[in-house]
Amino acid sequence: MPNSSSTVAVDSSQTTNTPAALGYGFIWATGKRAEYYMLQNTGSDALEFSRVGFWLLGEGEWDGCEELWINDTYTWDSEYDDPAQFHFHRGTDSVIGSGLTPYSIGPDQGCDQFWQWFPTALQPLCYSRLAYYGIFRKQPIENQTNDHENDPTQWTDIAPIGLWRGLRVRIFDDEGNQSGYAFSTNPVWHWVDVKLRRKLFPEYGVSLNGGADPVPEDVLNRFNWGDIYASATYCNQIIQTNLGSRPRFTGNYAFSQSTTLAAIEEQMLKVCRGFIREYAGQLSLIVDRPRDSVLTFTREHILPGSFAPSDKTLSSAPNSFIAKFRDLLVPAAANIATITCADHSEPIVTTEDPHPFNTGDRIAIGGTDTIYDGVWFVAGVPAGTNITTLTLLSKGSNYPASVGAGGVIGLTYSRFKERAPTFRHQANQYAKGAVGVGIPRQLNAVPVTYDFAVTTFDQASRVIRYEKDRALGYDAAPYVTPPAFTLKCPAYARDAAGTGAAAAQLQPGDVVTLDPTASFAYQGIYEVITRAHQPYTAQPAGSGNTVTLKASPDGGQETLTLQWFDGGYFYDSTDAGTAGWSNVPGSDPGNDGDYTAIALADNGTLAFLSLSLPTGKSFDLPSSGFDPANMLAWAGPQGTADVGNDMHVISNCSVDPTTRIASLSYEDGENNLWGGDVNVAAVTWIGDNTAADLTTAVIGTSEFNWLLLTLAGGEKVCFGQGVLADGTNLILPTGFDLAKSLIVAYPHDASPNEAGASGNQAHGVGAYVDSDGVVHLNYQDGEGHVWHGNANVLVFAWQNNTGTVTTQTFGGASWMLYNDATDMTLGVGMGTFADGSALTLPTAAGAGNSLQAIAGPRTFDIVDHPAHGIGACYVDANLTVHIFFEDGEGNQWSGTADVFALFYEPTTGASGGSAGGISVTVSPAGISMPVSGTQQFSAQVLGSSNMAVNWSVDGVAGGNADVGTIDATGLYTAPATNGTHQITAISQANAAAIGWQFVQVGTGSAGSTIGAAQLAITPSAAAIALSATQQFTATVTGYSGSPTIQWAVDGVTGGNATVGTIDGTGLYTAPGTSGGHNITALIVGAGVGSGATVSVGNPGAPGGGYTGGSPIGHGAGGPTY
Amino acid sequence: MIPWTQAIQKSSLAHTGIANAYLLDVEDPNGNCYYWGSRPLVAPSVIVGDGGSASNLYLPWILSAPQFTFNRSMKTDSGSVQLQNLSGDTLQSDFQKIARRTVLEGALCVYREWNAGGQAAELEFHGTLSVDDSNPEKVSLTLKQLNDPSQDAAPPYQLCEICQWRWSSVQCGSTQPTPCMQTFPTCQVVERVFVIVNNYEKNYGEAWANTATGVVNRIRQF
Repeated sequence: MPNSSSTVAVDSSQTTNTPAALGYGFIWATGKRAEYYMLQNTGSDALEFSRVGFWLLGEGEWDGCEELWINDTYTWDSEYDDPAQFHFHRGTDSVIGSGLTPYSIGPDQGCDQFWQWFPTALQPLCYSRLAYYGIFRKQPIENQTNDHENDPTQWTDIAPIGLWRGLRVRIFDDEGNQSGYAFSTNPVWHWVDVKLRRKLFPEYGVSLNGGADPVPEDVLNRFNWGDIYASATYCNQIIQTNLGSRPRFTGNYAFSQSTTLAAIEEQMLKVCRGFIREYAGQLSLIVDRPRDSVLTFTREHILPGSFAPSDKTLSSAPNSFIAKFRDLLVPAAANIATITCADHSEPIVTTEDPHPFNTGDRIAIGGTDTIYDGVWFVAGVPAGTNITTLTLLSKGSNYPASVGAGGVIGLTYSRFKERAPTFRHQANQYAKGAVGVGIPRQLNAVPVTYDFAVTTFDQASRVIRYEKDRALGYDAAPYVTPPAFTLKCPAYARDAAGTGAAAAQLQPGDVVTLDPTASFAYQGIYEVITRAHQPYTAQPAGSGNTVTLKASPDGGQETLTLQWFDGGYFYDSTDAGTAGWSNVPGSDPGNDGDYTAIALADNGTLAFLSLSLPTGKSFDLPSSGFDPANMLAWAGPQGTADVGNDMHVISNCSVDPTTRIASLSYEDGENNLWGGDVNVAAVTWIGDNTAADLTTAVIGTSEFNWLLLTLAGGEKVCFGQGVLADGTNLILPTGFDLAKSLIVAYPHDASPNEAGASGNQAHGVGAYVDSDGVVHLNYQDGEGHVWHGNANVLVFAWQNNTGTVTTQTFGGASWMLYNDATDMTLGVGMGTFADGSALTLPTAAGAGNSLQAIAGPRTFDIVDHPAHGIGACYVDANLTVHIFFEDGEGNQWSGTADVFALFYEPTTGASGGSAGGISVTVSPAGISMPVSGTQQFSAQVLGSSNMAVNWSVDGVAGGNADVGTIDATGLYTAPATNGTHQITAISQANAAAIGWQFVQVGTGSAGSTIGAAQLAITPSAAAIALSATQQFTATVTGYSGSPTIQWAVDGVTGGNATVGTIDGTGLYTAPGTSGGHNITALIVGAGVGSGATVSVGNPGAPGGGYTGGSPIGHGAGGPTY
Repeated sequence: MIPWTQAIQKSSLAHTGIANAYLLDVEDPNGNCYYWGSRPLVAPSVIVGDGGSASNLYLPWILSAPQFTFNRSMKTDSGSVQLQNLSGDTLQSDFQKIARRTVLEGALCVYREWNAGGQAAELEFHGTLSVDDSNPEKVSLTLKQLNDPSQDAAPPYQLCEICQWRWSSVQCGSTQPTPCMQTFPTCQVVERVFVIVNNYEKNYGEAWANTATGVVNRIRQF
């Protein structure tokens, strides 16, 4: 396991003034200042005392800049910001032949033009393969006393520090095909990268546009991609925390020049509960998580005298775990009491207690669940002491007039605060705290520090609680020593559960079961920590070059060290109470919680984002490896910064797919421009050409981008993006047609001199694509003049090549629904809504947690007022659509908006969701019952030894009189009124793993006697060979009479050739192809059922193998040579 | 779990059969390959070398059952194999003949427990060799797994005036016939040189400590 004491990685703050040898994730660094000069006697007052310099960040291709501060002042928020003063060079290879003439402004490794300001004797360099940045800036001192350009006392040195996105890394699928090359915070891809970069494939090229050279096949073969991909995917899964949703495990660390590869790897493993396994020259990174037992030991397996309990020595074990890290989140400094904002003015925040902020501060607001959540600048703070108000600098639109208490504020510059919360194992401290007869025990704390580099409290707490509980057992009363022992078994001891697995196949990290016959005291589930393998004993015979081994009749033996294993210590929830401080929710850099990831074919992933930005600002991609080159983006106007001018057109509303900077410009007829907030939708993807293929077509006179996608499950869909003129006929790619498409459009650009526009003031703007595929972009004044422009068109279309796509009209929108191969439903909808109307979601959307929605103006009312712009056009958190225009004098009028929405949720009708490798299934399904009747539900937990669940009804723990009650055994008592209720079982091992069923009360036959009936299937899980058989047994209790059991495979009664067949006795015959299948048994007429799983294709067949009490193994009978 | 083929599963389930053979493939840094086994056997090899045969005769030099330990930690997986050191002539043993003409310490090796019935390995271990031939009759080989990062200093680069790239490497890009001197003046692809140089005045700008600001006089002629 990673050992904190041996880790010499340094967090990013300590790499100041040195290039980071390796930097992954988000890095707070200055870099080594390589060249730095002040200009003097230039002959230009404007240039005098300007500073110019280069700072070297680190070797390799870094991704970009999140924010750059100069002299403690926030200055730039993107590597594309202010190219006259700020150049970022990624760290690619310079182009051979390009020479050393200064000309580049980045991001390539051409020789930077800032060199021209240095002495001619100073040798320009490209810094090939070295990420660096240059600054050329005349930096004023704080609180200048004058602004004289030639006064040296008014200009000062530059001391920059930035938040950077570190190295780009390769992303692979489960077969070792490289599917991406991008910035990622996933520690699994960091580990793969460092193994490649520092060990297996150190000499490779990196070009600006082509990325890193492909990895040779022999190098790829050094990795077990199935294991690695599974671990990476597990790290990427979004979990819900008290401070928002984020990936399960991320890594952010920079490493100094003088460290070892082992220390670097340990750091990466530490943040994700990882360990490395190597077999046959292939490396795996396994993230520790709930997993199934692969072999069950019985008494017959254990060699006599070899079972040696050896509980972990706890007397000297550390029991006070210190999680050292730098906080990626912004610490909260004040609680919000109210936020008010008069029409088009600057919002005023009132805090519950005096706040510490000053004018000019850059602050983060979170937890209000309104558009106020985000980053702002402080425009003003009243003078005096004990100040509880501050004014925000408007971002350019109109904001909600009043927001009540809730939410917090923090200073973004306070990010990376050093933290060291302690997680105490008090039971262990108490256990080793005896000091004398008659004297109360003392808490004997033995500290150990784990350095997590840069992370969040949430992640640090989850990982360190895992380390603590895994090492010491649960901190509970009574405190019980976690069991551990060694045993020896024959190498060919076979799994007692009948999977055919042999002990000789075990690897460290595998989970095994010790049944009661092996040891009543130690029965349970364990993890293999070490395996000492000794094949059959043999004695040499002969001599010299003819020596041979004479094999003994035993088949060899395995000596295993086993340690307790429990699904309960794989925490996916935050122990928030131990933080001792609070953070601003959602203040993570990047965008890891606000996107919807959709599974594509060949393990590809599509991410759909919808968000809003002030004009001129950029947005972040998810930090899980999406290539910034894989980008389609749409922009639409959300609001306006009122400057008192009448809108003639929107001259530009766009988002640059390269810089991801959004722009919005309204224009009057007199060349005056003003901005506002922008709605943005974007897609980015990981995958091969089967999963996602970007092509370009010409429609009219414009290029149009088509992203052809194959969803997991085979359905072919596409996204289209392009700018088309009003009146253009949209033509879909081959295989798609307008009847199976959802299309919206947004104003992109127009000229005040468009035909019909000149001199006219618009009352509004609207864009759409009609059912014939004709693009419309309309402006109109109050006198019937209409003019047009170009629209940014968003197309979503599907083929229904799978025949399983369904469509429906729901809540005023048209929806397409597709249940994919991962038991998820993709729902895409589009509808036209009036101001104040609600977007309602289809049932398949569930709670809509994954919903993305973007609105664009479609029509507008004609009133007596020329518009200054769009007052609002968005869908709020309550799914209310806002669309109105305004004239700056308090007049507002309505319109309609086209709303494009997308969700990706567990398939409706599925009765469970999994988390952390744990899945919960509730049965029976489809219950109808009389009022006040009772029904027994059961929950099956897979992936954890902790089978306990908590029951709830309609989200109420234990239920209540209105929805019915449910006890700890799952016995549900219906309420006295009709209705449909949701019965939910929540895993106690992982609260994110839930299962559910719906019950209809009031429609069942009275006097039902099925309430107490229960059915159980044994075995609950089996693994068998192709075409092999497995007998399942259904045990029925609490049922009067002779029940008729109906068996099914994957929901197919009796099964079929594809999924395997099962007869009336429960005898299952596997198909000829490998895969996992669900076996269900149902008491006909009773609505009571249960389930089991079977894995087909697991090597070996049940039965046979070692069964005796003495070693008899392979090779018995002696050698034949 | 170590994946086993169906043939191995079937074979290993049988209570009789041909005992597994222990096979050791070794490739030394000079490109020589050696194949040693627990009995004379022709079997497919994992290490075949340049232009080598896919199957080779494994000389029966392995004296006893090799033992291996695998760990769920960063501790190195390892195993031990003993070879006979007797065959040869009166002057030197066969193993000594090998040891004296090449280096076996650190040689790439692959150990397998070969299931002849299933024609596949039940256990396969890739690693490097460490040799103890102090015993005149036996040679003790220690096999360590390939992944042993404790032996690797992670960043091989120290930014200075000496270029860090291997000459003619991909990063270097040189296609010239003769090597450079790893310096900027001798660099053949100056766009790629991986150095920090400052030949202006006294070079004080390269000090790693904070330095005084260099003042550039733009109208001064250099």
